[in-house]
Amino acid sequence: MVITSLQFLIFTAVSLLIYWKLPKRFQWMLLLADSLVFYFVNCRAYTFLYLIGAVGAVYAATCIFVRTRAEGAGEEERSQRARKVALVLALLFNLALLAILKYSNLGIHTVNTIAQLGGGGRPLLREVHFPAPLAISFYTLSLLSYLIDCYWGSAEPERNPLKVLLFTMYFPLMVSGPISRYREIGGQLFEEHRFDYDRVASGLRRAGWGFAKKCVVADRLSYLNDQLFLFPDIYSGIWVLGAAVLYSVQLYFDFSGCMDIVLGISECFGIRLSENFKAPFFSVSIQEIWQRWHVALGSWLNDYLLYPLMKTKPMARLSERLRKKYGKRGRHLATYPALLVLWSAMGLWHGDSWKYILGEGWWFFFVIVCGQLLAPVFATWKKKLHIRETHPVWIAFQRCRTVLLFGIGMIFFRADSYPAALHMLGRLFVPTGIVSPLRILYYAAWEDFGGWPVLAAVVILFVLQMMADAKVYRRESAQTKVKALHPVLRWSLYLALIFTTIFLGAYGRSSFIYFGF
Amino acid sequence: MRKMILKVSLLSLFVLGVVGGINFIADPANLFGEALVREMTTHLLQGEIVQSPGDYDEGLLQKEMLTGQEPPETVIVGSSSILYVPWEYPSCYVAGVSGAFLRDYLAVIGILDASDRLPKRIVLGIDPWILKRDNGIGRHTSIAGYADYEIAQSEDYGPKPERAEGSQPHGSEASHRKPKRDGGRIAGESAQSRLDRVWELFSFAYFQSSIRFLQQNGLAECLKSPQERTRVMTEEEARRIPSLLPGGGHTALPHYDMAQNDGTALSAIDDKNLPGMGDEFRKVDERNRSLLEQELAYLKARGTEVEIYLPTLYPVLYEYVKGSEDYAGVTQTEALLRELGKTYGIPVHGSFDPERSGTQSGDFADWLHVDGDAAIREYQKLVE
Repeated sequence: MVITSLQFLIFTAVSLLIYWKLPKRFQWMLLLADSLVFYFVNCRAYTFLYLIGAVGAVYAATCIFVRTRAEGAGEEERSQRARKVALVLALLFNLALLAILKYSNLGIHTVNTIAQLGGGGRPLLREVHFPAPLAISFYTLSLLSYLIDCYWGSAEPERNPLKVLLFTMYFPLMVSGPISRYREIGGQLFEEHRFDYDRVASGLRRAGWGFAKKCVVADRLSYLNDQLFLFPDIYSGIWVLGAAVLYSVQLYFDFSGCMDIVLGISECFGIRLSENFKAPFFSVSIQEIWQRWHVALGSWLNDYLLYPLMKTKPMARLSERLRKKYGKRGRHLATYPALLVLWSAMGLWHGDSWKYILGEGWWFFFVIVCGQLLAPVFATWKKKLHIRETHPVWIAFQRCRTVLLFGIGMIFFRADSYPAALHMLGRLFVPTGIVSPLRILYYAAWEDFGGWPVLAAVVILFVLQMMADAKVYRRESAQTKVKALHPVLRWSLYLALIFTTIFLGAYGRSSFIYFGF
Repeated sequence: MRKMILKVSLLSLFVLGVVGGINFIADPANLFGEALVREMTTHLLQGEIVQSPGDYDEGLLQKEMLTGQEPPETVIVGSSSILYVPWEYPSCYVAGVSGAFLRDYLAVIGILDASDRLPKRIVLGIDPWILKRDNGIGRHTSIAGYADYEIAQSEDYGPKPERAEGSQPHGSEASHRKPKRDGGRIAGESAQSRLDRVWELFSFAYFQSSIRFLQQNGLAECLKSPQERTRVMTEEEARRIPSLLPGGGHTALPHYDMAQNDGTALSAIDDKNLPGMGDEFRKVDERNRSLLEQELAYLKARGTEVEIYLPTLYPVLYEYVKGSEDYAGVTQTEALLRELGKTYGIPVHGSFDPERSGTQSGDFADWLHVDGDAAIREYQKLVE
């Protein structure tokens, strides 16, 4: 049941009707039932055992946290040790499950490649195909954050295992996240909700907008991108840059469209999820764009990987040593190995291929080398060239540069493999004309793309999204603008959006791109 | 809350009403065109040639044709690869449905079986991908009930199917759901099909096709009665315009340029999206193999002669498939069918391998179909 399908809409509508009619104390149970239905319709039944195993391990660990906390003061050291063992075991169990189900083939490919480099003919190991539970990458991180928060004492362990199960598999989150924290949504999931007309209307508006972004912009652009990425030998030179930017736009509309649908539907149930995008195309640096793109993943890695890593004894020692030698800059230097681990983990999270790690490496290079190491040099240049940081032209230049560099990194994500990505990047330096590839693109993909009406719709929706993002950038809400419109105009807009989506959207094209990560 | 329900209901009714209404009126694939199919059948059964309406319910047409006439001596069952072949059997009917998967084959035979019309001989034109795991389903939902019936009929014959590890049962083939026969009609045969059609009535993708169809043909054309829409062709006209013949076949396909066929095949290889196989067909599915073997054993036991025809794969495609582990299922399928042929005494004609069957790129009308005369040549040439 794809979430852009009519089946999903009917499923959600029926759920909402029951949800708001049901005695409030049963609301969370209905959400759990819905989530189970959604899971079993979308995934093989036996993979549910993996999910239950993951939840069971975390639940058991949190029970130990609760029990050891209740023990007397004299038992402090033993309790602490028991808590740590429970934490490590639950962590290892979940990470091992994720590694086996998602990353086995990465290890196998790597071993085979190394063996073949050493002169071996046939592959040493055979590929394995484990059907993984739905959204395993997303829910594993959510579960681990809950486990660690309970260990740290920043979240209260949940006594009811069914509630932990609901937190893990709340159905809007089972598509592509966002990775949620228990302390943010735990309370909302289980508390009683009263029907709020404005909230439901706002959720529906948002979900509708998400459908349009996904079906009209992302899925239609995918026809052009498929062609551009399939034949880099034809679309060389500036076309590579075009493909990079176009794919970033596709990915943004795909993922943020999905988030709009997920957050919108969740809002209809009275549950507010955290935002995953904060106007990323308005960023002026690679570092900033990653603070605005897939916010939930970035903040999760910061909180549960980077900061704990920085607090480890070896890192603290390294930091101290570098500070003594290079002063204040030395402290910064000490963060680089930890940042490298963070960016590698971010790449690895996206999939079982080295191409993701290389893609993240590209951005890491710009964050560290250009953003930090060369920052004093750039500052001197700016001073010499009399560039004002706040000048609109300079800001526009920075934004365009950021989108371009971001897009080039995305080539690694879109290409079939890292050699294909490197080949495509190599084609960047082979000059090609505009007219001939444009003609080929026209014949190969224009009809599938949908022609001029679709192009017009894509441009209009893109501009509208950028206007909404500009508001987000200024911490305002685009929804209030829409709500303030005259009802006739507002309803005309709704109908125009619905029929544009139905008539110009691409259906049955693909699932959400992040669904595969 | 009532206000919200009212608003959302009205909006949904309006939108779905527009979508459903336009889909029903335009109906570019004749999904709701049962009357049109019945009108076509009437003409075909009278020995007339009828212009192909493009998309239509091919399963329903076969059901009407097979139950509306005395069974011929030979029935050819398969996909579009058998439709353009000028078969040389003296009394023969070609029961092909485009893109047929395993259950479609079984459904067509089931139509004959359910009405006690099993012919003297059945020729199965088997495509290379028929035993792929995903292809155990049926594509022609209006005759799906007959596949269940035929599976139930044949379950006591041949070896017992083994469920491959992790595999799901295919459709509703379990014996406890054995369909009941009622005068040649299968009870409940079209419930799923009707549901699918109702679903399609509100499909947005179908809505887009409907709008295009309306733009091309105008509203007046869409509002014509089935009698007005069915066009009987002369033999001369049928040579130029795609038409359905009374013997079940279709008029010959137009010949495409060889370079164009090569280009299309290479593009499918580049996309790793081969016809009927998608991105992989690594091995023969055990369940599908068992279903096919059961059916062969059952037909033999019922006294029906069976022959197998393997339509040749386009040379560029076969060359790629032969060297790829991802499509090893194709050569496995041929080997297996030859083995089944030996076990049950079934002649196997042709080969997926163009070299073996002596077929060249120039013998293909398009990249999927061998030209009719070349198909007859390869059918007669290689018999094992």
